[in-house]
Amino acid sequence: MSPRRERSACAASAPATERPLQAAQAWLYAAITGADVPPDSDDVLVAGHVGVGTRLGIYRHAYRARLEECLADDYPAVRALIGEGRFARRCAIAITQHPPREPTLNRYGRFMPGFLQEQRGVPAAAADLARLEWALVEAIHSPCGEIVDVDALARVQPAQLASARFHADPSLRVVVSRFDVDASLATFQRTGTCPAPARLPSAVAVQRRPSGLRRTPLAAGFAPLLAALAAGQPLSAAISTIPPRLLTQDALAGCFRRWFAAGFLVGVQS
Amino acid sequence: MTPRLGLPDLGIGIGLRSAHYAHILERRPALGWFEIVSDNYLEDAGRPLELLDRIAARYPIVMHGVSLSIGSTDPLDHDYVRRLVRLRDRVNARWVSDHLCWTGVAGRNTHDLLPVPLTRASLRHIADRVCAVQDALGAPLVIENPSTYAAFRGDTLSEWDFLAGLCAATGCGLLLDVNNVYVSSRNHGFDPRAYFDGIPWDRVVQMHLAGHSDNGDHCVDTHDGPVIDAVWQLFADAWRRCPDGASVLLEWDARLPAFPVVAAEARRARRHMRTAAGAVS
Repeated sequence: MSPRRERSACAASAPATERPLQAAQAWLYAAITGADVPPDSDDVLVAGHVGVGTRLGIYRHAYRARLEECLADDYPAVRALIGEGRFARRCAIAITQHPPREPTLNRYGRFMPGFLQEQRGVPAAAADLARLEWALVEAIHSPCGEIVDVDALARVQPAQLASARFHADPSLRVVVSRFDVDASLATFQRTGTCPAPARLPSAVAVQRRPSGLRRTPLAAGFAPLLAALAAGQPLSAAISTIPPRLLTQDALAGCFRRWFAAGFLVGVQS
Repeated sequence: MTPRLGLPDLGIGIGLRSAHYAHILERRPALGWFEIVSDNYLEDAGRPLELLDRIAARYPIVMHGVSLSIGSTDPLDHDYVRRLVRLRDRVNARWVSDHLCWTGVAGRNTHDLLPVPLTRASLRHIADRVCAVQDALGAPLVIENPSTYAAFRGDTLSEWDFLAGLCAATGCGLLLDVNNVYVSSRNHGFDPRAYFDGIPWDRVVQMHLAGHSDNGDHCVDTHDGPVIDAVWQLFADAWRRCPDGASVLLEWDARLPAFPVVAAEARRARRHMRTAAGAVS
């Protein structure tokens, strides 16, 4: 008797619904998400006028197609950059490595930047472009910033400045890259074609305003400061993220003026 | 029993899709109601939720979910249910529905509507969970018959008997998806009229209509086109059996046309309702 027959005989002695319900569901889950249709499928499912392989194939296809579509929706520029075929192949690997665990797919694609970074044969800039696209997804699902309090900083006593923490627009995301990913994304949104991002350090602030998503280029040297402040670090700690050569009073004052005016920072707690 | 469990007849509605937001908000089309996919709005904030707030201020909303996973053997996701309740209260949704299915097991989610084993044990398991959800909602849960492509060899009940048993055990409502009855009947070889003979019509709160893909020996519920004539005929039969009426909704997801095309397809339901009414009189 072949191994397949042995497995079939075992399954036939315990039809799916005579097994615990959980075992039946675990079997079907594996049959849908696994690499191949299980050999005992005919013993568990009814064939009728359509083969069990075809029946399972509908679910197997739908599972992968739905998740790939979700990733394509979240990362259209990455897809255009690396090509549809290569994107689909990477998605197939990603879906196997990152099966969904949450009831909604809104945040399913969050692993993609890290996943792409580990992939050989994918342009190095793809992971950074994915970070930028994910920042847009997160911003869409974030509240808009409150009314900007541009004079807040002026009211902080000098002695309290070091320990001051800033309130950022809750939709704000800061994306720092070795590549000019924002320029490539802008070209993609204009033309549908995503050129390879130039190797040029860049930083961009992403936020949601009532009028829609907004991307604002940042001075790359100061972007980590904004990111640290948005993460809730006190000014004294956040300021250590920027190179000492940039630390002039005028430069800092200019940054804070722009950041408050742009609504990146919306208040300060001294 | 009170018709439709006391829930209102909202007339003819359409599934709300993001591609139609602008048209709806700018043109304010005459339409009875919108059904939302609950899972798309289970966030605390964001652009989709803000747009939904604006639409909910003008139209009745019904919540239709795909991830309650009422048939799963995983513990009921109480956080998910709490989020449903929060959204229901926020948009004043008239009722909350989901499918007779499970979507995942062992903490993993396929995001597909998988067939439940149709057995007494499964019925008891699902009935307990429906009751728990209804306790949280403080209202009847409305359960939809899904399109299915596979059935377990150990099934001992028909889907219609299973649904009738579930309604009797829990007091839940039914969302009768006429297209799903047609699709499943083609896939499993049963007579749709036997299905209609078996379900408790006094629990039918809502009906769904949609297009599907016909692959010859089987059909797939793709929601990517107009409703076919055979489904319209089934709908007319269903309407005849539903003397107190029900809210009717057209679903269109893939290859989505402009809003007026979808609205026109939905309004075709009226003609079939009239035909059915004529046949009854």
